[in-house]
Amino acid sequence: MADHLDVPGPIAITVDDDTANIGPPMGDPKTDITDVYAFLKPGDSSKSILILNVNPLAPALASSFDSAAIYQINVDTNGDAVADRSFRIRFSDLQDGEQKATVHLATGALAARLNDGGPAVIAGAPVSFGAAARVTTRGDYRFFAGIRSDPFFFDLLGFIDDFNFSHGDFFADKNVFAIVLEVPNSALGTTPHTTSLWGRTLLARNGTLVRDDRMARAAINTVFNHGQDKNVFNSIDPDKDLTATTTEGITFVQSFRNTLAALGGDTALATVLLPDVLNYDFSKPTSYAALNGRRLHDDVIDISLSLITGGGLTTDHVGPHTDYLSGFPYVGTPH
Amino acid sequence: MKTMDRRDFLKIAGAGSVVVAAGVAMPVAGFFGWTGKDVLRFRAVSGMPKAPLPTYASYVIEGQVNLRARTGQLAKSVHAGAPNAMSGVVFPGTARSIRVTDVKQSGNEVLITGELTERSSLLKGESPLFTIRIDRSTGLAQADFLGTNVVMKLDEHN
Repeated sequence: MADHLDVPGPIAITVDDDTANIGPPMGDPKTDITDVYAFLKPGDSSKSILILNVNPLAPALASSFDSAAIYQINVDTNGDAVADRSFRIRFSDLQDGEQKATVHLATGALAARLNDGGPAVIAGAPVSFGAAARVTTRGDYRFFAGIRSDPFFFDLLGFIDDFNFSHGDFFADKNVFAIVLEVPNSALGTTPHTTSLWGRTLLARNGTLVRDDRMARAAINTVFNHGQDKNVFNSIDPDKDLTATTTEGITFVQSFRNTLAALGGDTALATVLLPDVLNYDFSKPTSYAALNGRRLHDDVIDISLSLITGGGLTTDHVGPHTDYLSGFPYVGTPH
Repeated sequence: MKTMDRRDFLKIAGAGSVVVAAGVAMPVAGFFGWTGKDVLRFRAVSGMPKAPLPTYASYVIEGQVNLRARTGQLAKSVHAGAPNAMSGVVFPGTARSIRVTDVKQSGNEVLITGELTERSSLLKGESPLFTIRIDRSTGLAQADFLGTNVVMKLDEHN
């Protein structure tokens, strides 16, 4: 539940006299972001690995990428929480069990707009639907998309059991659909100390693109936003995080402060956690604990628990998976 | 609110049924209630976790019992989404079928006991035995969730 199965907004469906909500986001798990990772390429610090995972519990809920969606990894280079660069990944329709991906890199003003523009850095990349990772290389870029072992680890049942962390790693045998990009650091700009990233999915609705899910640090929307506020939060971009208001009419910053106070955490953390971006200084070693990127094995839950509870809770008693790969695409073979 | 026919609904719901254990019903608000003199149909729901954390999931117990025969069949599961935005997605490993072994009624209270039909994959803290206490006067029920007593809201209609 880094952001697994959390809503942008389940669709309420009425059938005769019955009503049910079928979610998550907008009813489609294909664009439900589970986690975002950014870390220096092991053995080559001139490159970075960017990962956007979607589709929790894959392939139980969905078995392909959404060809009508745009999957984005947005990059802010100057610290204003506005995308200055954006990797846009689109997928072809599923045909004969195959999908192909194209990755565009938008820069400048184009990056902040809702579109899939920009020159292609990867084209015609096959999606992997099986255990074998089909990797596409073009110049300094490498790309993978397909089903993989979910790298996230967390005692989810302990979380919903009011922090009674004794139920083990819920995600140990789960899969996701992973999008993995290896990029030269130069593609992320020239100001690493003010660089940050976040994942975003866009959906086509009535001829226009609308914001669906977004995520940067782990579990922000899940832990801090209540009810409809989750949808509001997903519908805005990070540059609005400090000023936007919840459905109760308070700022998200104040809402975060309230939750932090109730949990025993430092309320000043609200303006560290917002804007919700993943700071990524690629001139320094990656470490989630140092608020610099996120590696697959970073224990984001233990780090977050300790922060938001003021040290009241320090661990969920589960650790990293053992199936991470030492080389591209780094995310383990699917279960 | 989007409206669609039952076939489309089931098609979408079917995506979730992959992770719904066989025999466990999809939660559909308003479907359950009291029917007849002897048969109690109900659904009890609790949002999880508790405040101050946002509700992320819904613990659902539902089914029907025969008050006279003191038998029945229930199901419990944990669904993604808060009670007012519950999805059809059940967290894998949380769906259980329950065979009712006794039903006792006293005034507005109904005490139902039973046992899980599958005992081979219990979660830590999960008992193979089951109890739920339903209080119609308050519209609340109490049951166990992995060793913790939880208060659940009764969703019923007459």
